[in-house]
Amino acid sequence: MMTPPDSETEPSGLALVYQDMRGELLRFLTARLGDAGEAEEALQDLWLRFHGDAGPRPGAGPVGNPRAYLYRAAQNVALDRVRERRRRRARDGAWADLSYDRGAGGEPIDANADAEAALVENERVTALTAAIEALPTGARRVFTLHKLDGVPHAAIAEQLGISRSGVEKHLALAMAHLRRALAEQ
Amino acid sequence: MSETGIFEQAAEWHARQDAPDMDWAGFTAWLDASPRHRDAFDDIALLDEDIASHRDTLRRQLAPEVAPIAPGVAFPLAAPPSRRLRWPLALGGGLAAVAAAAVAVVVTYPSAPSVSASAPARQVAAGDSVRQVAVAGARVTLAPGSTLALPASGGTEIALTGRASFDVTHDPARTLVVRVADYEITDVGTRFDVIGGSDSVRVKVAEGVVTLRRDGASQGVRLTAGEMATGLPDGSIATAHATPAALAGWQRGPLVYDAMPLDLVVADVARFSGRTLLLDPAASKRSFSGVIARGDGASMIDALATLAGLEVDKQGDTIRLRDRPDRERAVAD
Repeated sequence: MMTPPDSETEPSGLALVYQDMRGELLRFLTARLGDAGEAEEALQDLWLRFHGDAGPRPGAGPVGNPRAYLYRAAQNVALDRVRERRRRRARDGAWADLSYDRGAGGEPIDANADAEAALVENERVTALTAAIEALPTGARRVFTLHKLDGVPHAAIAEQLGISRSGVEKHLALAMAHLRRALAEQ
Repeated sequence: MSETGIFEQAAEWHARQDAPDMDWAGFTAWLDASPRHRDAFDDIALLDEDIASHRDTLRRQLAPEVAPIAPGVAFPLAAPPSRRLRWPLALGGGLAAVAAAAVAVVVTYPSAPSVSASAPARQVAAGDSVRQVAVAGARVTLAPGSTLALPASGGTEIALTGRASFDVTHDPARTLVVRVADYEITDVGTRFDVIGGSDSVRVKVAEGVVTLRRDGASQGVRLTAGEMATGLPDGSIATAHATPAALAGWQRGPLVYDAMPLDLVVADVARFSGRTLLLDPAASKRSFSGVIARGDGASMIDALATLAGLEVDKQGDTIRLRDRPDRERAVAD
C-alpha cells in the first residue's frame, strides 16, 4: 500500500506538500516509466528517500521550492529504475552494445570481462571527448561550464550575457549532438 | 516528428528540469504523448549521468578552446611565432598552414624580459615595487622584479616574466592569453596567480577556469577555482588542490609556497628581494613548502635558506644557493 507511514513527529512542510502532490507525482512517474506498477514502487522509493525510517533525513533542511524539489526527486528515482532496466536488458544480451550500464555499478563476470569493460569505457570517454570538441562553439562553452565545471545556469547566463533560456537551448543542443555522435559510433 | 526532433525536445526538457519554473505538467503530457519520447529522454538522462561520472577525465582530456564564443570576432592576430594553431577546423582550414615551428621563448635567469622577434609593442616593468596594470580587460598586479610585454592595441596576448595576479573581466568576445616560460595560459574571466621561472610555471586559480598548455602540445589542462598546476621543464603538468593560504594575495601578506619547485621559489624570492640569486641546478627541482615574510631582501633570503636547507654563498652582487652539505647526505633525492 502506498500510504507513507505516519510520522510520530509533526509532519514537515515537505511531507504536507507530498500529500498534496501524491496524485500528480504518480501521474508523472507513470508517464516517465510507462508502467503504473513501477510508478507506485518509485513513489514509495521517493517517500523513503526523503523520509527514511527515522523521520525526515537530517540535513534535508528547509526546501525553498518543495514542488520542484519533489519533482526532481521523482526524476531521480525514476532514473534509478531506468538505469536498472537497461542494465537488465544488457545482461540479457538483447542490448549488449549499450554501454551505459558498464559504469560504476557494472558487474563483470570475470577478469576478462572486467578488462573488456574498462576498454569499452575508455573508448566511450574518448568518443565523448571527440564529440564535445566537435560541438558548435557556443554550445561547447555552455556545456563545459555547466556539465564539467559545475557552474549553475544563472551564473552562466550572467557570465556570457545571454538569457537563461539561451543557456538551456545551448545545453539541449549540446546533449542532442552528443547523443547522436555516440549513437553513430 | 522526426527522431532528431524528439531527441532535441528530450534534451530541452532535460536542460530545463532544474529551472524553478520548469513546466512539470507539460513535461508529463509530453512523455505521455509517445513511448518514443520516454525512450529519448532515457537516453539523454543516462548520457548526462555518463558525462557526470567521467567529468574529471573529460576535463583533463579536452583540448582548450581557442576560438572566442561570439561569431565574427577576429582571432587575435598579434600572436607571437611560437603559437601553434591547434584548431584549424575551428579557425578555418587555410590558417592551419600558418602553424610555424615553435620558437622557444628563451628566458635566461636571472632574467631579462623575454621578447621574441615579433614582440608586442610595449613593456611594463614593476621595478622594485608592486605595480598595477590594466590591459585587455584584465587588472594585473605585477610583482616586484617582474615584467609584462603588452599586446599591440586590441591584442589579448600578454607575455609575463616573473609573477603576477590576474583579475580578468569576462568578455565573450575576448580570451586573454598569458605566455610564460614555455607555457600558455588562457582565460575567459577569472582571478588567478602566475609564478614564472626560466622553464617552468605555477598557476593558481582563485576563481573561474583557466587552461594551462605547453607550447606545441595539442592539449592543455583545465584548472578551476582552488586548483593549481605546475608546468615543468619537460612539458609535463602536475595539478593539485591549492591550500587556501597559497591562494591568498601576496600583494600585502607573506609569500606562501605550496609544494613548489625550488627554482620557482628562488626566482620569486629573488624578485621580491631585488637580489640576483643563482640556484645550484642540483637543487632546483626539489619541492619547497613554506611561508616567507615580506621584508628586506637579506632577511627574505636568510629565511628561504633556513627553511629550504640551502647554503648561501655571496660573491659580490651575486648570491649562490646550493644544498647544504649535511642536507645532501641526509636527503637522497
